[in-house]
Parts: sequence; C-alpha cells; structure tokens
Amino acid sequence: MAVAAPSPTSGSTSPTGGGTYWRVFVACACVKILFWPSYHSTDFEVHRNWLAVTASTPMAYWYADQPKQSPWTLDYPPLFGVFERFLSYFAKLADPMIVEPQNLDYAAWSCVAFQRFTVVAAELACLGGGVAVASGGAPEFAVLFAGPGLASLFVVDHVHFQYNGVFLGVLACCAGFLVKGQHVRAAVAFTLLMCMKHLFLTLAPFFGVYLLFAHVLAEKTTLGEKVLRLVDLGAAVTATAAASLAPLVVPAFHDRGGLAGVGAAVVELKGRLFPFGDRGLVHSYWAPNAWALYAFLDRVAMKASGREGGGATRGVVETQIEYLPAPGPLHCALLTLLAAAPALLAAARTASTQSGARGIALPALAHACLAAFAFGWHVHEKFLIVALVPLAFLALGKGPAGSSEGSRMLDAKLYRHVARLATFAMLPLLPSPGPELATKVLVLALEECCLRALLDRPPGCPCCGDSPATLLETLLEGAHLAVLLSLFLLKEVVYPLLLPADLAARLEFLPLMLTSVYCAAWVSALSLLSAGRLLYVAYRADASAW
Amino acid sequence: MSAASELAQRALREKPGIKRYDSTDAVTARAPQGVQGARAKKLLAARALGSPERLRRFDSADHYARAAAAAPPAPAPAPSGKWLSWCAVAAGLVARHGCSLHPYSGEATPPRFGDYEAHRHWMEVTIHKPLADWYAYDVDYWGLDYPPAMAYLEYALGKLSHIIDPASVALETSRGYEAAGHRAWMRGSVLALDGLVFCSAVVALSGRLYGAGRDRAAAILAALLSPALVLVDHGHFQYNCVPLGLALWSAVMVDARRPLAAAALFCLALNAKQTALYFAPAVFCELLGRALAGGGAFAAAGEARGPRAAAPRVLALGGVVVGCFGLCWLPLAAAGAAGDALRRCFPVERGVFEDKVANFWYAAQVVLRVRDRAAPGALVAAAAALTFVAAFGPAGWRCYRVAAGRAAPSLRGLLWSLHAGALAFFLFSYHVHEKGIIVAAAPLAALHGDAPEYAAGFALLAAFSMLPLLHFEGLAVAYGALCALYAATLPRSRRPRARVAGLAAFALVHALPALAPPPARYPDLYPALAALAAGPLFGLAWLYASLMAATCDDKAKAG
Repeated sequence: MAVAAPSPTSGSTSPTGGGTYWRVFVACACVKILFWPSYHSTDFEVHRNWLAVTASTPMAYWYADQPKQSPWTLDYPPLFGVFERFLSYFAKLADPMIVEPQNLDYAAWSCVAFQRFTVVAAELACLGGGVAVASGGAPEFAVLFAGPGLASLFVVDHVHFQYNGVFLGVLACCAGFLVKGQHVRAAVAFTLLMCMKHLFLTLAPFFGVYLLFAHVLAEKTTLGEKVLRLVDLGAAVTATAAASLAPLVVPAFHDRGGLAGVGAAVVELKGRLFPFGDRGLVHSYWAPNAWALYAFLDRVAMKASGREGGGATRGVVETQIEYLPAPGPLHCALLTLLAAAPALLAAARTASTQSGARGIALPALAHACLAAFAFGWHVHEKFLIVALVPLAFLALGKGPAGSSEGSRMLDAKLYRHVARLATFAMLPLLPSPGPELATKVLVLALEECCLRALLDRPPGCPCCGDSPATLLETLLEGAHLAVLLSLFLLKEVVYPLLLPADLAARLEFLPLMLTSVYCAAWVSALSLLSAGRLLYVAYRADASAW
Repeated sequence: MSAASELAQRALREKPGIKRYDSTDAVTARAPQGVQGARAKKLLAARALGSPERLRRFDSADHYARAAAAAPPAPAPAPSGKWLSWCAVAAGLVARHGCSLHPYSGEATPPRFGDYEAHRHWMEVTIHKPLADWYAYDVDYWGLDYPPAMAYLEYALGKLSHIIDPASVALETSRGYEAAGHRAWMRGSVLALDGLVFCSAVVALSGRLYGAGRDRAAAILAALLSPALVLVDHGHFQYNCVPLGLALWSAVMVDARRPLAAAALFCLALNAKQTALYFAPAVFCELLGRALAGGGAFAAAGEARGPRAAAPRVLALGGVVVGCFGLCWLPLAAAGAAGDALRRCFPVERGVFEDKVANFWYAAQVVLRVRDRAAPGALVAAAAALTFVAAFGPAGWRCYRVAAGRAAPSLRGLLWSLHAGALAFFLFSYHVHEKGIIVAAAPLAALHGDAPEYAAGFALLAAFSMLPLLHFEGLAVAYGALCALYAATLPRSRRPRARVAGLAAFALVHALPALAPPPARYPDLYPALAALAAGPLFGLAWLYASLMAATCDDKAKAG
C-alpha cells in the first residue's frame, strides 16, 4: 500500500502509474480477505436473505409480503435486487444452502467466504473501475479509495458488511463525468445510482439544478439547442429509470394481471423503500449530523424541564424526539434543500460557462452530500462516506482550475477531517471488547498516517510557513485529537473494564451520545465552512473563487 | 540411546490424542520418491535464486567512512518520509491483526490442542507453581520447553491474563480454555510484542540501511509483510517476534558501535528461545572480528588492532554474556530447576527432524534412509559437525577478513551473515521444525532493498515450505492472502516479465494437487515433494548468502 503511494511531490501522470493503481487495489483486496473471519453485523444475514429472496421468488413478488418471511425484507430498489439475483447464481454453485429462504442466520464458512468475496470483488470492479475512469488511474486515488485512506468504507463494508463500495464507485464515475463535462453520461450514471439505492435521491436536487444550468442553459447556445439538450437529457434519464424499473414492472404486468398488478407491485415497492411509519428521525446510535445535536438538545431540555421521558429509545433502531417539536419527513426534505441551497446557488451562478461547470461540480456535489447527511430522515453514519468521494477528488487537486493554493490546502484538510470523523463515527458499529478493539485502533492509525503522508504539504512549502496561524491550528488539532482519544478510551476501556457494571448499564448510551454530539458539531462546522465558500463563489459568480 | 530416553520417546509417540497433520513415518516408509519432484524443483529454482546483479546498491565508500567514525550519525529522517514509514508500520500491523483473526494451531481440537494452548498453559503453570516446578510440572501435557527469559515473559503475561480473566489461567481447570475474549487477549499480546520488539527493530534497521523517505518505507513494508513471519506468530501462534526482534536489535547495537549492549540483547534473545542459537556463530564471529579489528569497528575511534589490544574488549564481552546468562538462570539454579530446564530445552531424544521439513536430514532420510541406518548418537554428532562447518565457515571467514582489515564491517554484511548462519542451522542441525525457516527469513526481510528478487523469492519459498502445516491448521486463506499481498506490494522490478513469470509459476505450483490428485497409495505425496523441492533451494540460498556475508563489504569493491 504505502510503497505504491507516491510522495506528495511526485507527479501522478507517470507512464507506469496505471499498473500501480491496480496493484494498490489488489493489495488492499488481500488485506480485506484477511478480515473475512472478522465480526459481521446482521446486515450479513440481511444480504443473505436478499440472495435467497431474489433467487427463489418470482421478480413480480420481490416486494410482496410472504406468509413466512425473514424480518429482513428486500428494501433496496429493483436494480439492486437484480444485482443480488446475479450473485445468487454463484451462491448456488458455492453452497446451495446460502439461497434457502428458511435457512435463517446461516453463517457457515462457505457462506461467509462467499458473501465476503462478493463484497471484495464488487468493490474491486465498481470502485476500482469507477475511480479509474474518473481519475485516469492515478495511484494516489487508489491509496485514498482502496482502503487505507477511506477506513470508514473498509469498516462498514468489509467488517460490518455492506456493499457501499458499489455505490461509491458509481458516484465516483459520475463525479468524473461531471468534471469532464460529459453531462448525459453523468445523468445516466446518477439515475442508475438512484435506482440501486434510493438514498441518493437526496442528491437529485443538486443534479437537477447543475445539469439544468451546465447542460441545458449552457452559454452560447440557441433556444433550439437548449430544447434539444433538454430532450436528450430527459430521454436518457427516463430510459435509464425505465430500464432499471423494468425487472419489477414487466414481470408484474405479465404475472399479476396487467396494470393493476403493476400498481400493486409499485405500492409494495414504495412501502418498502419509504417506511416512514416504522423508522424514526434518528437511529438509536445517532449519526453525527444536525439531528444528533437536536436530539441532544431535546434530552437536555427534557432534563431541564424536569419531565420524565418515555425512555430514550423506541424499539431497537431509533430514538424519538420527546420534548422539542418532532420534525417529520417533509421538514427533513425542506431543511435538506435549504442546507443544499449554497451548492444550488453556486451551481446556478457559475455552471453555465464551461470552465465554471467543470470547476463547481465537485465542491457543489460535496456540499450537497454534506447537506443531505446533515438533515436527512433516518440517515446512517455511513452516508458521510458519500461526501468523501467528491472531497477526495478535491483533496487530490481536481478542484476548480485557477483556484488558489490555499484553497487546495483547505480541501486537503477538509478531506482529512471528514474522513477521520467518518471513521470515528463508524467504530461503534463494531462490538467491543474483543479482537475488534485492535481493528479499530489499527484502521484509525493507518488512515491517519496514510492521509498525512499523502495530503500533508511538505514543510518549507511557501504556502504554509511557521506562522502563528499554523501554530494555532496545530494546537487546535492536537486538542481535537485529544478529545477523540478520550472518547475512544471512555467507550473502549473505561466502560468495559473500569466502571462498575450497574453504573455502566445505567449510562450505557452516554459514550455513544458524546461521540455523536462531538462529531456532529465538527461535521456541522465543516459543512458551514463549505457553505460559506460556496456562497462566496456564488457571490463572485466565479468557480475559481472556491 | 539410553533406556530412559528410549522410554521417553516411546511415551511421546504413543501418547494418545497427539494428532499430527501428517506422519513422517508413513512417508519415509515409502521413500525414495524424490525423483518425481524434478519438475517442481526446476519451477521453484527460478524463484529462489533471484539475480545477483541486483545487489550492488550498497557498495559505496561511505560505509567504510562510517565504520571509521567514532559514533556513526544516524541519518536524519526527512519529515516528508516520516509518515510514509509510519504507514508501512501500520500496514504491517493491520496485516498481522487480519491474520490473527484466522484459526490458530489446535483450535477446538481437544485433548491436546496446539501451540496456542501450550503458551496459555505455560502462563497458567508459571503463575501458580513455584519456580522449582516450572520445568517439571506434568511435562506430558505441554511441559515448558523454552529457556527462562520466555518463561519469565509467560509469567508476566499470565499475571495480566489473571487480572483480566482469572478463569483463563486457573490451575488445571483452564486446560483448553478458548473463550473469545481470551483469544483476543492472546492474539493481542503477540501483536503488541511484535510491534514493540520486532517491528521496532525493523524500523531501526531500515533507517540505518536506507536512510529516510520512500526507500525506507518500502523496506519496512517488505520486511513486515514477509508472509512466513506473520503466519507463524499471528496464524499458527507463537512468540517468535520476541527472540527474532531482540536478535535484530542486537544487530542494530553492533552497527551503533555499542557491542556490550548488542551482546546483552543477543543473550536475552537466546534465553527467549533456543532457535536464536541459529544466529550465534554469526553474532560471535562479528563481535570477535570487530574487536580484533579495532579502529572504530568495535566501539570508539582510534582503537588499536590485533589480539593483544582486543583482549580486554573480548573479556568485557565475555563478562556481559556470563552476566546475562547468570541473571536469567540464577533464579532457576537457586530453586534447583536449572537441570530440568536444560533437559527440557534441548530434547535430543526427539529425533533428527520433525515431519516433512525442507532440510538436509529429511532429504537424506528419503534418499539414503539415514535415520533408519545410523544410530541416534551418531546422527547427533554428524548434525553437530555439519552445522558447525556450515555455520562457522562463512562467519569465520568474514571474521578473519574483518579482523584483518580486508572488509569494512557493515550492517549489511552482518545481516547476510545472520541469514547464512540461520540457514546452515535450518539445513543441518538436529531436530529442526519447518517453522525454523523464519529464523533465516527475519534478517533477510530487513535486507529487502539490497536484493529484492532474492529476498522476495526466499520469503515466498519460506512460506511455501510451511504450507502443509498451515493448510492443516486452517490457515490456507490467510496464507494465500498474505502471499498475494506480499507479491502485490513488492517494489517495481527491473525485470517485470521475469517476475510475473516467477509469480505465475509459484501460483501454478499450488494448483498441482487439484489438477493432479495424489495417488491413493501416497496421500502425502505433495507435502513430501514440497519439502524435497524446497530443501535444495534452501541449500542454494545458503551458498549464496554465505558468499554475500563473506564478500559484500569487500574494501576492494567499495573503493
């Protein structure tokens, strides 16, 4: 990993760079294979069940409730179901027991190895391929994306168990298309992404506004051209969406009696994809976003008012707001839109010129991701990784042409901070104590060293002398690291080893809450910074002002 | 053979429940069969030898100049490369931890389990039994057979384990204790000791050999990802990182012109595990040669050359050695257990080799049936003589050249000498286990930047020679992943096609058992073939390493 990592000063365009890019990905894949026997969460069984459901149920009934079904019903869009169906053919070859729907909680080594292998292979293909397309195969991108520089993805995919690498690969591809000005391809890739995981719908407003200004309303085009561009963009998106939904709709039309069957299937799909009734505003472990701060305020206000709450959590996976006004999904959507407004505004102001469109794509996309994370309904901590994709491109110098060296340094710092917070916020997903303690310490350490080696400017660089500001920053960062370290020790050492058991049980969620709130404050501050920079871009109507 | 040792041997053989992954006796009865291995040998020969012309990077006058300086200044690390080196260390630790998630030797196989249980049992015995009983307590169930320093370490680990989970080291009742939390503790203890002793030594050596920056990071990464070293400690389960790390630290001290510290550290390594003895001729000859050479090779500048001037230096070294051994053994001697400990540490009754090991004695047994024809006493004597010649030959030659001022004593030469000496012991000494190859792999791992192709070939061959054992223990996935990781992180080759061909051949060899299943009459055909193919290659490696140890810091070449 580190050998292949070029020093920050070496160019990324060496003729031999392509081989190194894939060697880094392959080396990291080997490390991921080493972690196969590691702990896996219930998501492992969720995906095993999806393999079984998609393999054994007719496509028209994928989203219909079955008389005897696992609690982990398919709740991703049909395109992801097709992916699981594709994997299930190989699962049958590896071990037919994997795709038995009634074989709940099956976790023999054959099953673990097969499912873990699919994650590694899918990530290698999608993330490796997507980032290669977007970056031209520069090795430092491999170091950032393959694992050492994106430990949060490693934790959530290869330990916890999910397929986020697939989505991030498509998103990286999409970002690459935007930067290259290939708008129709970007629109198609983004539509595919939404049809694989509907969570990415939260980025749709950004893509809508951006493509409207960059593609349809591009300067120096006649009205006729504008109409034609709108038509080809619309046609591409509609065709992709139709093709993605076809695996559900066409069989439903055939097998379930025409349009009525299609309607029933779509209603089932909607119920599974948007279970607003069943899922609350925040998860029981609060993702470090604005709602974590709000929920914390709610707890404080409740204590202050002396009212007793009905218990902090409801069910296993959510927390309720009990004292302050509880927002609904619509409020979340409106607030997300409001938070994304600087990105939309900046895109609207700059994207109609070619250089502006290319320059603003990544900063605005990154901010749209941060905004969606900040105010999304029932957002998981892993959505923060989504924001890391455009931030990584910015950090590695793909920012707007003509922007200052200071802004590039800021981008690198932003990536490092968000990546660190994302990893830190991901750690409570793993159990403690146990071998996962070493996993946590080591992935944090590897990511920190890797990002410092890759993104830190060498000392003596003219942009960052030993000014008082640098000293202050070093001190602040030291304090920040000290707080993170104490939170980590509180959760991993003090609670399991030093605290009396009854006290630890009574205050069970305290370390998690403190972690969430502290990380949330940081992420919010960094999002505000990004909003400020975008508003300045919008005010100047010049992407290079980023 | 005395009646007592014969009885002991029979008891060992007939002990119920000792499960081996394969039986040497079964195969040796069917030998010879080595003829069939010729093709596999050729395939592997391409890997192990590498190319001698890649070894020139260190030939600079700078080394002699450094030897002459009073205290050689360590190269100041450039800050930009600092984090890259830390990256390499973190990556090495991540790979170690990943490997430790896989099964350990004897996992869930009562009644004897394996090396994991042995170490846990020693923690249990050392904290509950008085010193006098450490080496005598129920020796049939994993009796302690490590030298005292390791026993003291087991005692310290046992005390910690007792604080965390008393049930894990409770006397008698804890046999076969395999709770998940305790497993994490045991694995964590190896990881921590590896990081503190072995990885730190690699970092120190890489700084002395390759300066700062990317070369150093690459050297650290290659050394820490050497698959055999990771698999034995973090897969199979042992604490080899401690003696190996101490021996490498001793080499660092020799290079830092602190010979007494070097001698003390090496004595500690010897007292941590007998296999550190593999390094003893090289360390002895190096220190002796440097003491005789004087002139800044030993400690300070301006020292006189020759035996008379060297006498106080050699006496001081001897004093340190006696002092260290005394410190380690006195408590045992006071408790009257030193004799037990010595007998447990050198079990001559356990046979000339164990299982299918890629050394001279296994090949000699298969081809000439030596073990069946010769008396055990004669075998011990032959092994001792052969080992002495093979180990002291190159080291002695190097000692002479250093003492006579014909060679500049460099750290590189010392590491080559350690590598060659360890190979000599692995090939020719008595009762060698296949895991012993990691002793030879450790000093070479630190030299990766000097002979990349040879070092890579050796590291993979060392792992390959242990594959039958690792496969039996459920470590095949870890083995494959670690070998692939190692191959993928190797620095770019100057002859990429040759490397790809070599790696492809290496990968293909693994497919042979699947492509051509062994005949029913010879179920252990492939492990035997692997040992017979790797043995001669290790022999060639010994020749090559001896040559390097004797000549690599030749003054004529450096000038």
